[in-house]
Amino acid sequence: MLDFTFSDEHEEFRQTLRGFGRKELLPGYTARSASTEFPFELLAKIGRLGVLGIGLPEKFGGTGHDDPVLLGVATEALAYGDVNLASAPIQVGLVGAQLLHGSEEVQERYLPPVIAGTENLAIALTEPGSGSDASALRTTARRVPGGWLLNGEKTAISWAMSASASLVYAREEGSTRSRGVSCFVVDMASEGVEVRHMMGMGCLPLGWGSIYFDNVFVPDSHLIGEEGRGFQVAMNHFDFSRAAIGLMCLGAAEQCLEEAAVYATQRETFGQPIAQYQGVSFPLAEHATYIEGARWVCYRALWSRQENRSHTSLASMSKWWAPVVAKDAIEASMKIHGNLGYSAEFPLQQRFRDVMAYLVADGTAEIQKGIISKEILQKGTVSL
Amino acid sequence: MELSDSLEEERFRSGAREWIEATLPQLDWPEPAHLVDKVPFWKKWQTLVFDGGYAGLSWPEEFGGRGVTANLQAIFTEELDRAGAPERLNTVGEDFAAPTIIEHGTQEQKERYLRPILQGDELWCQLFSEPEAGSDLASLKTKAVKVEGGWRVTGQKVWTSRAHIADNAILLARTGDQPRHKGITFFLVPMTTEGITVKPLAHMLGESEFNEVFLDDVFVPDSAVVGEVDGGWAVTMSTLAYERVAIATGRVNTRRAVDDIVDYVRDTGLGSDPKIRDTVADLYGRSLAHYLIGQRVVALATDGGPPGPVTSIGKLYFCPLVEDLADFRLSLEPLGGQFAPDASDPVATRWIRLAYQARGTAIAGGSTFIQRNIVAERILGMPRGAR
Repeated sequence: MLDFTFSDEHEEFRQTLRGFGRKELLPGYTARSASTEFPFELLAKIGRLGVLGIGLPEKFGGTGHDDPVLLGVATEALAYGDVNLASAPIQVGLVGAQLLHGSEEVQERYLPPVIAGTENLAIALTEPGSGSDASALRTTARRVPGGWLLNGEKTAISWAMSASASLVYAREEGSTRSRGVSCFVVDMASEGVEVRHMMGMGCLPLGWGSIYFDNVFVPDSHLIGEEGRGFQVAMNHFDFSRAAIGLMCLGAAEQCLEEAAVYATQRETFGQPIAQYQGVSFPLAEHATYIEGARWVCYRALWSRQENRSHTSLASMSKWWAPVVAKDAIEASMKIHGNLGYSAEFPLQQRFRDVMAYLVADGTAEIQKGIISKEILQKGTVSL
Repeated sequence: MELSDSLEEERFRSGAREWIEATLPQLDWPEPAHLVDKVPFWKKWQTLVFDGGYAGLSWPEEFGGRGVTANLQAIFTEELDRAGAPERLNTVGEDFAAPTIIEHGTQEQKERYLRPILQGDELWCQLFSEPEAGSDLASLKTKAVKVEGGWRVTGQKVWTSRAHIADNAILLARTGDQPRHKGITFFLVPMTTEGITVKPLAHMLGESEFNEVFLDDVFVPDSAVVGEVDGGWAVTMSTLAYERVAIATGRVNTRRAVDDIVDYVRDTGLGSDPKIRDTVADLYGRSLAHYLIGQRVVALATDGGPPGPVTSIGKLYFCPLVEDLADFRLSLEPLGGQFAPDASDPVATRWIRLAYQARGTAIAGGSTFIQRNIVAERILGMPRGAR
């Protein structure tokens, strides 16, 4: 029997986060998102709600048990208020899951502050010559007594500007593709690390940047997982992040559409509210339909992960489709608002800019479609 | 119907092309990125256009124009786009205000205002939209009260493009007690007049292109009225018709955009990707269709009559096409080209600007909602919507 209700615990959490998002995050969203400053104060408040430690050990402040659906609930609800900060649970989830493969020293140093929301860690995987094809990375790790020396360049790294450390993927010299790649946690204050800001159209507080490593020494204790098997550690976690990203974009779109619905009942032309025109009311209905469809693809992916069912294609569907649905709904909301929607004083255009990044980030639509079509062709069915 | 150039058009095109190519290098390139910085650059260009005899091509000769047909004017614009001429900053002056003054203005107004537009001395803006009057323009509230020798105007305008760099404005204000479109008068106002305050508003790209304009007891003489007092709506309709011609024929040269995309896809080898080939072919076909719609508008204007509601089809076709062109080209850039405009990367900057500006164009100059109503009612003969 199908059951689309959230558990009591999830529903209560959802209501709490929606309330928090609208009360604490929404009022300052437009101004905050036009700034490159990272709002640690708000991140710490999110941390106190327990959202940043989903699935991470209780001894470090986490919830102690894996709960992918809860992660989706959190990102969707927080995105009503601030789509940029709503990505924090995903980032901490990805970072935390990888840190668990690290030494006790590393876990104790980094997990408590990222779960509390007082420090950020970046994931430095993408390079100028390796984006979609991440295994083509060129950054090298050379063995030296007591550790490694890292050399190379990472680019388009979210959170780079506010991170106190990065998870850096680097290969043994002479290795190719996914073999020989190890993951290291690198303190950003280490000698030889340089960070340069990359100004984007959106996601400004998340601090996109390039990170340069020039003979950066990393001690043995900062290796994450097994030497030479770092790539597998990274790839194993992208499935759940993809569905959560989809829900995050949809949360921002739901907020836009709801603002458009309110505006449509208030704004009058030719003697009546514009909501009375089907040219305005039907797009509201259409985009609400698309959002509803996309939401349940995302939640089904997360539920499948929770149930240990196959969910790779569902996660890919969530990642390529939900941001497109969200972007289109936001654009429709902007148009319903007329020039107000295009004005920098209103949050709609800001959400459009912030969501655009996710059409590409964390695996492009092309990569996702490749994953889905491969499974369809292998299994001979579209019931994935 | 003839879609290729006539002999006359061919001669004109080749002369214009030669002149543009010889004249553009006289400017101090590159063109500045920001609107305020563009003004001196554009003024120098407009002076050259005027001296070359290409300013106000379709205006009557008595006002400094050359009195040629609208199709030759369109050819000149095409050639400007083809060669990458400076952005046309004074479209409100040249394309909307001046034709309105020529059609409805007094001799004094024509002598005062037309030549400075041609010579690039005075930029114009359009003080029409208000916080409560956008698509429904006739609900505007800015009030003009009769005083000795003129009017005192008080109210607020908004979304006024380029008001912060404009010298003059066309202004709508309510002069009579009659409702809606019956009590509106059309004025010409220098933006330096006491009581006018301009407050720039940032748009989606974070730049100030449009403005709020506050009018506080602004004195406007009787001689500034265009057409009849309380009869400004008829004048406004002329202005909006001229605006729609400009929009329908395209503020963006979509054919040039497609050509640039084709060159890029060919040079980078991306053309071997079936998905990309398919998209480029689709965009090429749509841009050709848009060009033909524009040509139809030009042909109707050349025949002397107002082009009418077909201009709405042009705008409805044009806006999503420009969005798709820019979005597609950006999708070929690293990270979908979602970088802030940056002078060090003019190519990506051009497309990101186009992608974001296109979202504004769909709203400005008569929103998509309004254009669809026009097509439904005036072309398809459907019943008038409830309003």
